[in-house]
Amino acid sequence: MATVSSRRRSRAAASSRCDSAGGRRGRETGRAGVAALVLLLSLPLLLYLVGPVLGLVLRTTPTVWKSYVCCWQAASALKLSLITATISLATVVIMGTPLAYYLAHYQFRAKNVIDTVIDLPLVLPPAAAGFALLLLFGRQGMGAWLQDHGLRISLTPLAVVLAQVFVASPFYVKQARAGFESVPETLRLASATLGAGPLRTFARVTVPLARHALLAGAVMTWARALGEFGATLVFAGAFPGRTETMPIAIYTTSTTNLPAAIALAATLVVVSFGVLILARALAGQRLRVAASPQ
Amino acid sequence: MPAICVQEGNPKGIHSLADLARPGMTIGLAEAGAVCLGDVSDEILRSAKLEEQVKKNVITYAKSCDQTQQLIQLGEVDAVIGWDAFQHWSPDQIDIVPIDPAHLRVRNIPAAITVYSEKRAQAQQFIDFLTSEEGKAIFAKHGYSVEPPTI
Repeated sequence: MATVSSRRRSRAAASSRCDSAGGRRGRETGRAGVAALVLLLSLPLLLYLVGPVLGLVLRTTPTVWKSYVCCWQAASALKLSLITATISLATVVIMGTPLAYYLAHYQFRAKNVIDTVIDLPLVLPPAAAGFALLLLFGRQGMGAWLQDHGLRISLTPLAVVLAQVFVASPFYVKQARAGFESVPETLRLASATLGAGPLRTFARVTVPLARHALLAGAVMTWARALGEFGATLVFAGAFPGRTETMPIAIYTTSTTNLPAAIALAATLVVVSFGVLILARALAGQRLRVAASPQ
Repeated sequence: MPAICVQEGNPKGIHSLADLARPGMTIGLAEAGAVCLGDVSDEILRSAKLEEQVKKNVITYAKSCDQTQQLIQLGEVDAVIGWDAFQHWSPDQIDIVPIDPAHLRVRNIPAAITVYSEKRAQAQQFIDFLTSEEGKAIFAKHGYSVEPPTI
């Protein structure tokens, strides 16, 4: 089977052969125009996004960092945040991928309703989501029954994950759906005619072709889960070492010790930035390998 | 005034600070450092020499007074150390168990004029209103003690 990359190369070669000199010149002027617009309109946006975060990092002196961030509470909050965000991401990917695939390739009556359900967490303010979860899983909801059977959900690390899954799932499901939709049906059919079963076609054709969208969705979901604050605070509480995630630790610390809170925030920024870059690099590499000739 | 706040009807039979340390109790406390109620709770438990035992039962720390109140209102914990005014806020969901006067710590709500104030006269007027009979009546209406307690 022809590989994705070689197909793309041959298409690029074909289009460059068709280029006329006039067309090229037109495209160059177009590019200059876009560059001007980027400089004028989008550069301020980029600076606006980077500025405050950079300020946060730059305000953190090594002394402050050493005295506050290296303490047990900050380390355990960071660990809890990284672990719960990763579990939440795994949960969303495992449970959301089939749904995204189904929504992308099948037509059915309740599709609009399901679409709206997926969007719900985006419009619900996180604190409201936290109350909704607390009312459902807390002692006023099914929590009383669950607790009689030995399972407590509210105010536990499990509640941290549930809160994160709730608020962060739309980011993956929507992106994955768009990614699956972008895979031409003809390619999936071709794979089937070559004898590959649905699972093999999914793993070898659909996923590699949709990889950018899947990865982007996963990254956004993980990042959203890591930054989750409102729903977590309400539903999971804030017990140091158990349910106190980094965003909550930052908030708590800020009421008593602002420099320490800034140091914590800077640490979260640096760590999550590093993890995201690493994840992109690793996943990009692995997916390229998956899509290369066997 | 701090008090032990329990669920309506006191289903767990909590009558004293020592009951908060009973095995199997789920307790919520306000967080010391984050909110004054947390500092008061710590002082009370320390005075009763129960800090360590009670904290074994604590499953969450609230960041504010209202959050502490919500914990008991939503039935998430068996008891919190809160303010007696909580019962006034949600009379149908919260019962109050008084704290042994030997360990009770009372807090005042302070009012002051900031040094940056450019309208000191008006600010003073507001403080005068707070401490007037009219102001006291408003506090009392919302469940706050307006006279120093006799302990």
